[in-house]
Amino acid sequence: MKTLMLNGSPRADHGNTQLFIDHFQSGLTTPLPVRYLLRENPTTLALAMKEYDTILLVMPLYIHAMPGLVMKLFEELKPQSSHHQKIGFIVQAGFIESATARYLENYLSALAHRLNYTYLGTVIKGDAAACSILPHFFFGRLFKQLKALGVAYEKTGSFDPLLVKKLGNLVYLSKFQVRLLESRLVSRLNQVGWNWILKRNGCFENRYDRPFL
Amino acid sequence: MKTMIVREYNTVMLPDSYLLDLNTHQIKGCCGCWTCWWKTPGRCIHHDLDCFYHHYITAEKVTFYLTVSQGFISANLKTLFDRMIPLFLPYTNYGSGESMHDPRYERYPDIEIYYQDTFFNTAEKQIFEDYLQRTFYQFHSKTIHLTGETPGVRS
Repeated sequence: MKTLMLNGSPRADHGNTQLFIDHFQSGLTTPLPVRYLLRENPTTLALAMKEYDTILLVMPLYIHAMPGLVMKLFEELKPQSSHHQKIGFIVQAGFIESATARYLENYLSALAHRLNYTYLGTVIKGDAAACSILPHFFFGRLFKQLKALGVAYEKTGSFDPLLVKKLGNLVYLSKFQVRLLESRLVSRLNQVGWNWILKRNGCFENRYDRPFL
Repeated sequence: MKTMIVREYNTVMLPDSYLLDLNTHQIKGCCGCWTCWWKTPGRCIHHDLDCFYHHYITAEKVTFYLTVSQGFISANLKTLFDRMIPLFLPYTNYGSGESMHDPRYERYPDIEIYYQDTFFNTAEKQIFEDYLQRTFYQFHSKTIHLTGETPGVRS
């Protein structure tokens, strides 16, 4: 089984997507080759993908879908003559609930079908925005799950459904969670991180600027 | 009424309307730096869209003429959407029952979308429409209309 991992982040190896790839790879006995969409010509990369049995594309969620540079690659892909090639996706998102990626998940499934790939599924992890900002011990459980996903992938050539489910939780916010998140205290706590960075960058007072009116 | 047109097909143009022609304008990609949220609030490090931002945020209605690419929106349009986050705040609210970024501006334009309906099947068309509805809902537009033109042959 010859697998290629693709990093679809505009931040290439400097962001959360790379962390996801690193921890997935930590579960493998032999590391998989990784290519970065940011550094590649999409036409050339689309041709190179044909040399592999399986493609695993890891990307951040941008506006409920793939980043523009991932769509550039998709535009270059041609339908396969048979189902011999497989494709799977790992998506890391900023919002808490993984349902915000459901639009992308629906499209990726349709795309695999359109291109005659065997679809391995889409792993979605929400609440991942701060992975590369906060100390890594905050994300110990996530990183263990990604490693386990790698272990299972090497054994079976597919995503472990139980791990996919675990990583995908929380799918939707419950009414209670919404009430809690909307409460003044939690709402202020949610802003602490952003405000800290804005203050550090000397632009806290400009945070509500409307420069294009 | 102040209007704006973003087009990938059609040659329609209204007097006094700002035009962003995606056939001739390749949008620079979002680099994921978050400068627009935490260093220069509301301003992107790239300046190719400064004129677009002004006209978008001051228009009452924006009309899109979109092609379909690989069963979805084109990469160039997706790049434009990625670059629209400076128009919103990094803070999140949950009032709708889902996570949403707070608006930066008081109001956002109504959206009218025409697209070339070249889908292979109705499922793909639904994914496309759901995505656009969701995107502009997230972008705080109150009215979003979609119309498929020249339906293709599909199962």
